[in-house]
Amino acid sequence: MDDSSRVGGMKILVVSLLRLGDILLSTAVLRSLKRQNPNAEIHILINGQFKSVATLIPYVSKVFCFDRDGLQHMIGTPDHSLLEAYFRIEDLVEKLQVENYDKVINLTHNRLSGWLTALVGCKNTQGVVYNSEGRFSVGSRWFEYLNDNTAPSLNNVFHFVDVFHYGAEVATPDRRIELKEGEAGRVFAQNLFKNPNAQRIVLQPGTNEKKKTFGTKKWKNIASLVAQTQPDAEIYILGAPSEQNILDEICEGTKFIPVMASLEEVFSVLQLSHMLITGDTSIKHLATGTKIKILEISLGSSELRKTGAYISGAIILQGKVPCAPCSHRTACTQKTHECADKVSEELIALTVGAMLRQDESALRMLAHEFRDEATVLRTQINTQGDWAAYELGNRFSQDEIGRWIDRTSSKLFLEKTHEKQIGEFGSEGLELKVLLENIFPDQSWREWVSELKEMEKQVIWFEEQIVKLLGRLKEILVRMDSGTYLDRYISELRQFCEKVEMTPLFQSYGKQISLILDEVPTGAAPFVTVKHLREQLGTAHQRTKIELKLIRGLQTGFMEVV
Amino acid sequence: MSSENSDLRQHLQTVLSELDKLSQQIRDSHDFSESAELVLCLRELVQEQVESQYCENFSSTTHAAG
Repeated sequence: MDDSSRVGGMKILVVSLLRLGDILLSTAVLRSLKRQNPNAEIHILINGQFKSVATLIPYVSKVFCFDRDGLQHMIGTPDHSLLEAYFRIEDLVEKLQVENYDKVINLTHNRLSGWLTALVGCKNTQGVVYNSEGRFSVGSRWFEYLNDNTAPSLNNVFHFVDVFHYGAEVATPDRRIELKEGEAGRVFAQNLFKNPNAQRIVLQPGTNEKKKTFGTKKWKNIASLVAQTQPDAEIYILGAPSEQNILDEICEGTKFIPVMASLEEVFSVLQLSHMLITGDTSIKHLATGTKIKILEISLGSSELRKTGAYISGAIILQGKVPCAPCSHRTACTQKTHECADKVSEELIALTVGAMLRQDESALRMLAHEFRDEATVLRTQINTQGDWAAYELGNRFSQDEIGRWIDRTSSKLFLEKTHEKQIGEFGSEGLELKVLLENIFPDQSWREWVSELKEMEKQVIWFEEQIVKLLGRLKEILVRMDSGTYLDRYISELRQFCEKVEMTPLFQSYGKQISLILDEVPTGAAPFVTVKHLREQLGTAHQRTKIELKLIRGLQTGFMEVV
Repeated sequence: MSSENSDLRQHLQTVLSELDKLSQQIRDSHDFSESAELVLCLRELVQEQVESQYCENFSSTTHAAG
């Protein structure tokens, strides 16, 4: 069916088959899709256990549920036949096929969703999908990037919301999570808050992963210290009905008010409150749809750079430990919950105070004072709509500047800016300059230019190395019969990658080439290996050109101030 | 580990191994018809369920598709 035959426009399915937090992040894409296609009918496929979230999502006219729990229960029970599960999936697929979608966007990056997306039978797909030969494709460099950056990482990776937007080609400067308040939630919150003028601070202690939160004793200490430092505030302890024990334990013998609420009610509670203190939870993402101030505590496997509070002005605290962030798939490997221990009650209470007073210099002082234990980060969404979390009180260094230049050049490359006749180096460069000035507000133009000139030399050196490596690949083509020569080359290239991966300025390049080296199958024909390496080194060469333009643009920008 | 959990793991491993055989047959035959895709989908679901027996939080991870 073509678009014109639809009454009202295109029909689009968005697939989000992970957890509640991921669904909430996906809603930003739903909003952008609707804004770009006001007549489109947008449907969403989510895991059945989270169907209650649907009441909060605007822009969606139909919600399909994948009954993961039911299916897995069926599969795990010997009394049931596997065929029952097969037929149940088939039923869902038939319902999806009947919709005859014009476009399917899969925001879930796993094989299961890839096969389900294939089964929907729409030719226009974005995100993971398997083709008729059983090979997966992603349809965009941004989704490829997502696939390459799944491991826990401290790298300056992009936020999922931004990756989803660029991958689905719906990125505009105005992208955010926007949810709709229900009447039941509104009534709940109004009944809860008796004093309309009170300052309300909400703490949300529960998470689905033990290592992503503090113990109840520490939460109680935090609440007590916050209550002491904010004597006029009302303290609310928020939880789901299943978390009653936690709430009871924290509130016992105190004036704290326990709030057990549904998602819809929580959203309204947050709408009418002033500050939320939470771990990496779906409640944090709900809060980004309100005006509440957010203090995020990033513990355990929480990857703040991928899933941090998608809003400007939130503060994130992360314990300084080498193991953070850890893998979702394993329990904490340390003797004590070290990343949690490093984020003290005192730091949290003082940060709350500084945030409520909107005292930027106090936040920077706290970051400096607690620098050995924790990192204090501020979130920012720039005028292009891109999210970032930068450290406050960080030492002015080439490493830190290099990390952000590498990130910007990575975006320009993923957006194929260098292939366009008129690139967006200018506006990206300006955004980068603003960001760097926010991170290091006290540096003089001379200091900036001096560091940037030094970095320019490093990029020129790196470009020379890449050109040499490309030249040697040509030699290999001539001596194709010599497997030893190729092996030696790969070994040297691997060493080179390891070296540059340690350098923030070239970190993502090194990682990209290493990934290709890791993927070279044993016994692959030398020609195939050489072809892959040539492509990757060619890419790295392009990236150096982008990075040089950015560095030179920054130098000009800082000198123009003079 | 309780014996109930152990039984479930064993059962799931058996189911997964059957589905793996079927998946391999599909790949060898290059027959990616709708029913084949459903089998592969089911296989991934079981694989996730097996993984969930060994880790805390399987469905939350964004893992690589290939």
